[in-house]
Amino acid sequence: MINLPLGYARKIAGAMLLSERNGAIGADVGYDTFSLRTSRAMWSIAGAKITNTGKTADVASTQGHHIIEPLGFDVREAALGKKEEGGMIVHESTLAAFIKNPKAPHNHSEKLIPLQLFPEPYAHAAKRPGGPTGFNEPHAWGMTIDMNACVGCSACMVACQAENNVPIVGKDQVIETRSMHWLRIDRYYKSSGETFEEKLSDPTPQITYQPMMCVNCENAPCEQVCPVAATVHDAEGLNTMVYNRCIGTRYCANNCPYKVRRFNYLDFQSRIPGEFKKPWLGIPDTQQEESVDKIKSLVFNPEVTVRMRGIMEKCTYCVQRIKNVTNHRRIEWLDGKREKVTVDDFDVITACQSACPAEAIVFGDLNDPESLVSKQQSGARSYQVLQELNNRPRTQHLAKLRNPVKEPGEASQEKAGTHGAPTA
Amino acid sequence: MATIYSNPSTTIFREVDNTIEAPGQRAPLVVGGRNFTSVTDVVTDVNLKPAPLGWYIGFACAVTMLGVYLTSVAYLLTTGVGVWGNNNSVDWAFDIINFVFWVGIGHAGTLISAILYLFRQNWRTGINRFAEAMTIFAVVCAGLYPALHIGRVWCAYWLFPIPNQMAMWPQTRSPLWWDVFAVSTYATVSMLFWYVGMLPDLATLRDRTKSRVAQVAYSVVSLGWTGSCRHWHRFERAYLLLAALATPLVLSVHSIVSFDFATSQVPGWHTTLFPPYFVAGAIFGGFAMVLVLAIPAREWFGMKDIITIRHIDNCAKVMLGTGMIVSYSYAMELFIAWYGGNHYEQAEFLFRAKDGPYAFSFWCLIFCNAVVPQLLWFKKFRLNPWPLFLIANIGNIGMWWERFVIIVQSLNRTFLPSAWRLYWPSYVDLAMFAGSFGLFFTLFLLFCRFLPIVAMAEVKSIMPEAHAHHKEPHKQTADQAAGDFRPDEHHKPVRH
Repeated sequence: MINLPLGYARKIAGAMLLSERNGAIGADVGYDTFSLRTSRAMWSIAGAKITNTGKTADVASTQGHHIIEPLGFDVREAALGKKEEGGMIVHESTLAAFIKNPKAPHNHSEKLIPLQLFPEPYAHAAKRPGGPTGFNEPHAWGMTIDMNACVGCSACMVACQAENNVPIVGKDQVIETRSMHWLRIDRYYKSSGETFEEKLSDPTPQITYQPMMCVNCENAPCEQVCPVAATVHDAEGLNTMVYNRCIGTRYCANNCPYKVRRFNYLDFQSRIPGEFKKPWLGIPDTQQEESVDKIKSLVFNPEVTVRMRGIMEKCTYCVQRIKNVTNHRRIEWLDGKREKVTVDDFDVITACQSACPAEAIVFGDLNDPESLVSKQQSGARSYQVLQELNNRPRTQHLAKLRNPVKEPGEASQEKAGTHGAPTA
Repeated sequence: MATIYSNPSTTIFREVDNTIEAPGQRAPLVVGGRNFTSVTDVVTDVNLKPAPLGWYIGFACAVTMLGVYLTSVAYLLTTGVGVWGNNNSVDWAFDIINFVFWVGIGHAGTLISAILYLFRQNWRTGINRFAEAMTIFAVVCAGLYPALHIGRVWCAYWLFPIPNQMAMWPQTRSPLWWDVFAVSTYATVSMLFWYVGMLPDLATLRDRTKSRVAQVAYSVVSLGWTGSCRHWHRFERAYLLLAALATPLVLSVHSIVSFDFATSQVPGWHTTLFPPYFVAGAIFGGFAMVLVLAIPAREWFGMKDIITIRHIDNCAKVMLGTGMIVSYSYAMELFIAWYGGNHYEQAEFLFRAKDGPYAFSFWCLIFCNAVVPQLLWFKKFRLNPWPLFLIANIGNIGMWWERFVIIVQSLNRTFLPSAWRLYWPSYVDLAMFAGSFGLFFTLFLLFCRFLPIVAMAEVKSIMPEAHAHHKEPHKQTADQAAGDFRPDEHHKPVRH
């Protein structure tokens, strides 16, 4: 039996109607399966013949970039010959184990050694016990991502793309693994079996979704290697990207352990997909202005810079939203309408956060002991991905807890806890 | 293996093997009965006689490849870095591989001209001029890569500390910025050293050429050299000082290039071993390139009496020595990965050698850089120029693969398995790499045509005639001195 998906393909698309140029976004995408679908047999065809045409087609899949089976931990484990349950990157455990020992999800991780490189006055006193010591004036922005709540729906990716003018690169560039999404959903699989081959053939692997975007390291490896100071830290802990200072050495992306930086290899914003590799003979700096379709430019979020070719970009924690809110709050504070200059919890909502149906993404001020993000980061499930590198990321992930029907080696059904995820 | 010795006065021809070490005797470094005049003749003939057909053919090929290079660069600049195969995980690939490859090749020239000068290694005189030229042209090829690999080339000047209205300054913690200085200093000092060393020889060409245009040109570039004692005195002082300046650069440049990798966090890059390992690798690759250039050159330009088999032998010995350091470094990288206990690094090296998609490249480099150079233990391979030519080429290929392994293999599998991606070069990558050889050989062939390819003045200084007492009655003439070099009793006198 062969299943054919319907939809996802178009011969002609909207932008094409507006532009005289061919090859507009969304045109000539996918394969037409409607010719097989008649009104007599809407859902299935019996007796269809399949012949091998001998042709091949490249499949462009952004998900495929991040799929881990069979290349993930199992490969690293097999290479090292030792077992890393859950691994260093994805912290997870069963609910029963978590109830017995709240540190269970982090059992296999390296120790966190929070070294402060610089003494006073560079390190500031924490504004609350256990809060960030540095880059905390007046806010200390932070985020948590709950891997327990994430269902991998990708709404956050779409929201981020719409908010931040993230370019659409087209099929050929996706095949070259140059998709520009600032936020990606990493999928880590865990399969049972002793040997590597057994693991590969496990029909029901377990999956963990780990949304990953710039984690705004306090001790950011990208900042130290940029020769032109195009990525620098601000006072509130944002790892800012100065687009018009960037010359595109790409060293930052190499040194980023999370690989969340995205480079504009071609003029993705102003050209039509499929035409990216046509030379531009004008003055480079005016390329965007002259080649962006005037109607297409109406699609852009006016509050976010549209990046040109040759520069690096990455998640900004939606800095435009942060600045909008903090500026208004500061004005209110100056006018005496407000007691504190800092924002309230949930005043600033990032695009990904607003789109998440499971409320897996929480953003806020880590200086505020009452903010949800502070509470979550003090919880037992919270951890820093790759914390052993001492990058001190401001985004922390919340470990995944599983509540399997049967524990391996246990006869009775596990009934610890209630249905659903416990709060940290 | 053997060279022919001729003494015109006695018309005795005798084979002299100047590769044998004989205690108490200096092996002659100029053979074939050459005297000062004939050394000058053989070197200046290359410049003053019409170029052979082979030169035109070679030059045409090189210029064609240069055209390929310039076309690729034009396409790159008008379109973006995306014409290469780099992607969002492997952000550096052919651009930095080729940069490190070319910078490495340059190192042998400076080592020969500066360090061997300070150590009084007289054999350097036969090969130092074209080795230095090789250095400069390799640095040109290398320096273009980082300049062209950035996304917005028109902003490249932001890397330099130029006071500007933007009130911006380079970020001095970045090893890339250290690179800018390391490479530009290296290029400047190498250029000066090369040029200053060439002054007496340029004057020789000026005096010998019969073309009016060449006379004017050589007069200008030889800066009024007359060969007076005062000129020679100042020349020697300046040369010594420049040698002393260039010596630390041999070690510093590639150390700083290695910092690009060593100071980063990437598993496989973050290694304290890198500076000495890179320097040794650079000298290994550089001497391989010297041999690749010297072996055909001595054949085609009739320089076998000046670039003798002893020179070739010495270069091969340096290749063997540095090759052993590099092999030790490969072993030590693997050992430290195991001993250090960092599981990311351990996995990285296992991917490199065993499970990774580019494991073949690791074994390529082990074969080329660690296995094949072992042949150089045998004198048979060191003294046979054409097998040695092959070994040297393999060494160069191996050094290229070494940089491929370090850069692409390490970036291809970093910390998060979700970001593991393959890299494959685009045709523009390949065209630019091939084209950079066109740039190198265009410059090199122009150098061969218009500049003295052997340091005549220096070669003469190591001939016996140059010694103060050689004319005293009880002393020998140069020819006799060379003729009396009898390290073994297998010489075969032949009377004509």
